[in-house]
Amino acid sequence: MSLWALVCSLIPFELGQGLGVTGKYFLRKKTTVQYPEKKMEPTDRFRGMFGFSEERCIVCHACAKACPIDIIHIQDHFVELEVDGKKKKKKVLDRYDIDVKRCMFCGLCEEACPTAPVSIWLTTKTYETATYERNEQLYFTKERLQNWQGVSAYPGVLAPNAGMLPEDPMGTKPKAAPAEPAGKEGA
Amino acid sequence: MTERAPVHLSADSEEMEISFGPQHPATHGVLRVMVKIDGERIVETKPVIGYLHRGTEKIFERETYNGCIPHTDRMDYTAAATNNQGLVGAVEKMMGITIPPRAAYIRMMLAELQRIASHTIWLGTHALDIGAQSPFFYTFEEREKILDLYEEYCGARLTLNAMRVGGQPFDLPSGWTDRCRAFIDQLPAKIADWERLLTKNRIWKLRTVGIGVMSGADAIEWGLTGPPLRGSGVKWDVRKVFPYDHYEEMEFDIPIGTNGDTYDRYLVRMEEMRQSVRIVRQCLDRLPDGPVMAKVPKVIKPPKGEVYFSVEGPKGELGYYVVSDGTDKPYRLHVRPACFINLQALPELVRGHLVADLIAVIGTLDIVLGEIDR
Repeated sequence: MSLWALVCSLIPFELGQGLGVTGKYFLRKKTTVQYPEKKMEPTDRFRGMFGFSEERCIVCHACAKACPIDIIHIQDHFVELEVDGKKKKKKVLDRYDIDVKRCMFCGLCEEACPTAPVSIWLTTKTYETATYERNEQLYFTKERLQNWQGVSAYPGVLAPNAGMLPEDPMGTKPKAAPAEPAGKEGA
Repeated sequence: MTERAPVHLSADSEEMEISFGPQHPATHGVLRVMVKIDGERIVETKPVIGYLHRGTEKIFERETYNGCIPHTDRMDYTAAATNNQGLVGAVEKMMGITIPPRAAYIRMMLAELQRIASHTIWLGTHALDIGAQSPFFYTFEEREKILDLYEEYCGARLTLNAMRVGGQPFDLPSGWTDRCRAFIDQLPAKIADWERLLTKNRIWKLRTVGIGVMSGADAIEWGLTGPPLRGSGVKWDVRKVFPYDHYEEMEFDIPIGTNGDTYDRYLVRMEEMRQSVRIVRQCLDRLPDGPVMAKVPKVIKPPKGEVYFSVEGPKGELGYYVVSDGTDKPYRLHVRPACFINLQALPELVRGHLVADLIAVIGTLDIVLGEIDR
């Protein structure tokens, strides 16, 4: 063993090196966020709480079929309408229930939706859905889905019934065009 | 401690059987190991698994092919992108779909970022188990940056559901490549920091050098894949041997170890992170334009038949064996998980070592119980 190797084996230089790294990180700006006081903004495509628009829905059941765990329950009936003297059949939504407590937020329902701005979307940035009771509070009927009763919405985001019907809910269009959801059609 | 009182003692020997886990934090989940010890030396170990069994393979049988993808996220929950990649690759192989080059490049980037994320979580927890606290915080900081990139791309951080049969569901958001490049550029300095904490550290070396030694021939016999195999000096990587996506266009090296001990596996994984950085950088440089989704039928119905397709996950070879009966749901979908097969070698690796070394070996195998139990 050379003298230098002996000195190295006796004095732990490498531990000092490691301690230097710790010191470097100690003096840096913190990366953590104090959560309840400060909140990080989710990205545009972030999959959070459901938004649902009854007026856009064409009752095609595609979302219920696409759901891997079958948590979307839809009931409908036909009504006969007279448009320009012709009798037409139209599907009317009776029930549109989502059992959100079992949802795994995969977003397949949103992808399956055939309407042009989709009528069910997850990109609401709303993620604070914790409740003290899960069976009642996290079972959303179509009324509760549209006004988010029991969910604290992300600041600045409105419930679907309050006029928050985004034009590009998936957030997949390029950002150059103003993709900010501002469509205030209907309420 | 969850190490309980001795289960049984026999009069003629000093051997004692203790139950280690399933709630012990060092078992990385709910692994229970029945350890027969003689004093402090381990005579025999028997891993007991199944505490996290959810019947994922059975669930696959009632789902459509695209509906299976979110379930694969939940097997190896630290590496959802490679899990997705394996399943969609298997179905695409079965249907003979060639995905557009842009989709393949996005897939490779997601998979390599996932490899880095998985290795950072491995390094943090492995070092924490052995007694080094600091790397845990530093590695998780980098992992969060990767998860931010994922959130921007597909909207989820952990359970990505980021791939579909036939390509990618979304294109990259604008500015994503710049942010990814910025992350990739600063990562090697961070890896050097982690190495400075551990690689030459004499305590780390005392805990890892010569622990859990397995020769290359033995590793092949046990069916090990991934870093445990490469740490034993066998140059085997599915990305090189059976290239999928566009890995044949990428330049990267396969790091291998020499002694096959815990320290070598650590070095292999650290080098793999650097190679992943290289691959992501090449992907960003050559990212082609074009569509991200091939023309696939709306209802995916692979022809009757069977197919095996495997990808190189962060933990090893992750294979999917799909049996189709021509309907829109798989008749049988078997998963070859890397962790399950690597865990088999645990009794061999820890025989004769101390109980404290069992922790190091469990850490070095990088097991995730979600994938073992499925």
